[in-house]
Amino acid sequence: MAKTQIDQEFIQLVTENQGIIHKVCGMYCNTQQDRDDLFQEVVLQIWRSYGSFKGNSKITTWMYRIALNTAISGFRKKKRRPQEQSISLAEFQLADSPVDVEFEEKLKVMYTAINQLNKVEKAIVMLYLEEQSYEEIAEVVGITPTNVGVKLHRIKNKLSKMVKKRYDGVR
Amino acid sequence: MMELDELKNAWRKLGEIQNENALSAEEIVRLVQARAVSTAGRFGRFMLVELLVSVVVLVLFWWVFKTYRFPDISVEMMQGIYAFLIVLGAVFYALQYRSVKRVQNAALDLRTSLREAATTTRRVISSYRVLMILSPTIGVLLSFWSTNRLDIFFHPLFLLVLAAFTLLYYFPCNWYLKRTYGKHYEELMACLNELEE
Repeated sequence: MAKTQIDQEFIQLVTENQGIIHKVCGMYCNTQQDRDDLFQEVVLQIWRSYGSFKGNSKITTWMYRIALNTAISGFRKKKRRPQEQSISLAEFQLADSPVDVEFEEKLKVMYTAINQLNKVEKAIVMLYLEEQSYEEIAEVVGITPTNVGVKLHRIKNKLSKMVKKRYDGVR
Repeated sequence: MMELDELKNAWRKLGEIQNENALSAEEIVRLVQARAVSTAGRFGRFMLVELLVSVVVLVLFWWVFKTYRFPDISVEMMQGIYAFLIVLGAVFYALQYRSVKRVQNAALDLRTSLREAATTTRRVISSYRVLMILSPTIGVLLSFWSTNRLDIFFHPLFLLVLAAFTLLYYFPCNWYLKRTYGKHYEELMACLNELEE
């Protein structure tokens, strides 16, 4: 792909919305190397699909769809090495450091629980945290808005149980 | 105890931090120009390795044949088997590569994309299985038929050797298929089942 061929509009789109890709990479990868690889793969997929974007949905919804699709349905070799801490959690710590230790602890517990969800549940949680509407989540995931509501309800219950179990275990 | 909704603020904050560390347009251009490896690319690499292994096995068999000179099996028969296997392999890999190139369509919604990826991956696996079981037998049969020596093919001992040979390579190949494409297929199906539940 020659530099001159790269559409300026596309570069601007990715530059402005790269937070979406970073968040997806942080959600699905545990090491910096994996995150970089996935980021690059998502950018490649966005580039490939860019011509077919018809503007029927919001550009952010479209980007979520491509990023999540690449992360979930793509084939990546599992690396046998100790798991590093997820970047998102590390950044949460930076963000909230000495201000509220209790809040940070709660955050860690919740984030650990989210990390234990399966890939599809993680996608739904992520879109929910991004304050996407049920309709938008449904559009990305390919199920009905009602089904999104049902799944989200189940996920919230599951997370509550996981968090409770963790607290009970500590006591 | 924290609820999911309480995480929204922290999530927003994470976005702000990420914006501070955002990549510049030049860095994005560099990323686009670099060769990212997609799922199709990874499967393509598998195929390249498979082709290399097949070539090594064929060369090895030819060497065994030349060294130990089996009575009743002429050079013409072996050439016939090899010609068949090479043509079959070329057609097979061309078709497989065409399927694999379409294994991921990220522009679709997740459910449709998973369904298409699972169908393609299943087709790739099934084709390998059929090829593994049938190709040597058909190759040998055609070759013996073309040289009017079907009597050798239908000899019980020869059939037994052929069956043993098929089993001998079927199991390691099947293990390899499960570890590569099979594992990916299982993951795709798990996600799809989760969505369709």
